[in-house]
Amino acid sequence: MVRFEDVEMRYAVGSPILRGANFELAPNTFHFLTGKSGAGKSSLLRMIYLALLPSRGRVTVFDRDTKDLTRAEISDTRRRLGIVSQDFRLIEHLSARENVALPLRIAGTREAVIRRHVPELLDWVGLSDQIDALPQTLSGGQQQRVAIARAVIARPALLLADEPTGNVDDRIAFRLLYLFEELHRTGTTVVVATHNDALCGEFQHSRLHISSGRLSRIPGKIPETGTPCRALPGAPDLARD
Amino acid sequence: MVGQGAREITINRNGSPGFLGWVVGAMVYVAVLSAAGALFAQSVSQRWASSLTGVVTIQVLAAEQPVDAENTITRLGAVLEILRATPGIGHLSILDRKSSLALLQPWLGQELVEKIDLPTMIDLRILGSATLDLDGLRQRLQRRTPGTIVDDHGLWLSRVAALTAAVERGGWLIVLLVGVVAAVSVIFAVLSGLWVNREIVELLHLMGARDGYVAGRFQGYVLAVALPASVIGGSFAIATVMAIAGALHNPGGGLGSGLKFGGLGGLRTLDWVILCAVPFVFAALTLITARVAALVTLRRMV
Repeated sequence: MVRFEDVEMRYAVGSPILRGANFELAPNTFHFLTGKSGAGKSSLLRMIYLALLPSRGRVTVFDRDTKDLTRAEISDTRRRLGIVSQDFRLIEHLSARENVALPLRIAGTREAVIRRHVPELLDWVGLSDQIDALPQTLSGGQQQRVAIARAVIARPALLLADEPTGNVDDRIAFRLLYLFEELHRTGTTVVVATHNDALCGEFQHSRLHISSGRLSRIPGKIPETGTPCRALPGAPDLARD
Repeated sequence: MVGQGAREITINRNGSPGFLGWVVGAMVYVAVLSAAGALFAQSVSQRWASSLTGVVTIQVLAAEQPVDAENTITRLGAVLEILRATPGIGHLSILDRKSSLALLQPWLGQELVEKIDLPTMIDLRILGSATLDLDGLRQRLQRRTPGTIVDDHGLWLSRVAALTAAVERGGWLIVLLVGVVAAVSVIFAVLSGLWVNREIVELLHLMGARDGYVAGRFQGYVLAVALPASVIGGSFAIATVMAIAGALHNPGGGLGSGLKFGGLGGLRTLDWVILCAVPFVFAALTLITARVAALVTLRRMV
């Protein structure tokens, strides 16, 4: 699904933030991406979601070298990704419903399908009462749940979360992680970048750790693959339409 | 895609039409007025040309005087003799001294008019497509009755044509310039919109939106502002044109009363259709400009 081969990433000044990175993310796996602030977690994620090209080496996403993708192909590849960021990045003047609907609109999904699935997904993240609320009226945890609903509504094959729990307290952080786990069980590959060791300790998935530009892999106690797919309760099955 | 769903892109957060709406509305107003001027000039020049084409006026000086020593025939009689022998002339009417005086009297006054030695005017209608040999006629008249003037109004008509053509070209040039100004305003609105909304644009890109989708959002915004502004500006302009046309048409009043302007100030049905189309052409222009500006700029952004 994602393969890094001898990847080096450096910005214009300073030493490389990533050197000789080699790893592969298999379908239907769950990974934490850990490391100190500024260790390069975000840069690594940005290379996966095609916002950044490696300085050296090769990054392959969905079997395509990211260097070879045209502008249109980058857009099409991103439609298979879900991205959750620390600062939620919701559009302030749009309701929760409209924010969550965006990926479907971009994909050209029919309005009737959008009208049906968006409330279902907001219900799944526990926000059925706040469907028409504007983001600034929601708490941080609620906003992040809207962002998660938006990231998964188009059924991405790969979900990338960059410090998704950075702006919420631990209790909410755990609840958000359970959502990611639930999503993982339906067959989505999940990468969660975090510096919250308590979370990693609790969930014990495989870890990719960046330290001093080097990437190492710490196997988790939960087997990476082979989890059977089961339907997400209340989650939309877009294949139906 | 345009206008569907919620609006991700807003250039004025308070939802007012703002600078772009005012500019487009004002530009459409000016454009419709200029187009009306151009169409009016074209229509009037055509009307006057068609009413004067095929008409030749002959001025016979000292019409009552004899041409020869025997006093057998007056100068007017001699001219008429030549005209009757000339092929290609259809209708012929003589405007006698009395009628000429009646025409001039309101301008010059009775006393002055009686002192003037007025020429007798002869109006000729040239037959259909028959070509009258004007130069031959001139020579024959000159030989028999020196000083007789043959006027086919060509000079006057060519000057009118040049004037109206200049007015017409000027009018369309203004429409063009105003269109350019409107397009430039849209470009600036889109550029500033891309800057103000750069985070949203980046977000849409990260969700897999192609440039065409993002450009579509800007088009949706621009159309929502420019279409009502165009229609309002165009409506005011058409009301203005109708008021002017009404004043010109008003019989017995105003400068235009003696001239043939035709119905509604001389504008034809097609002209009105063109005028009504101008606001929509402008709205379409802003739409296309918005798309091109957004696509070009997005390609330069990362």
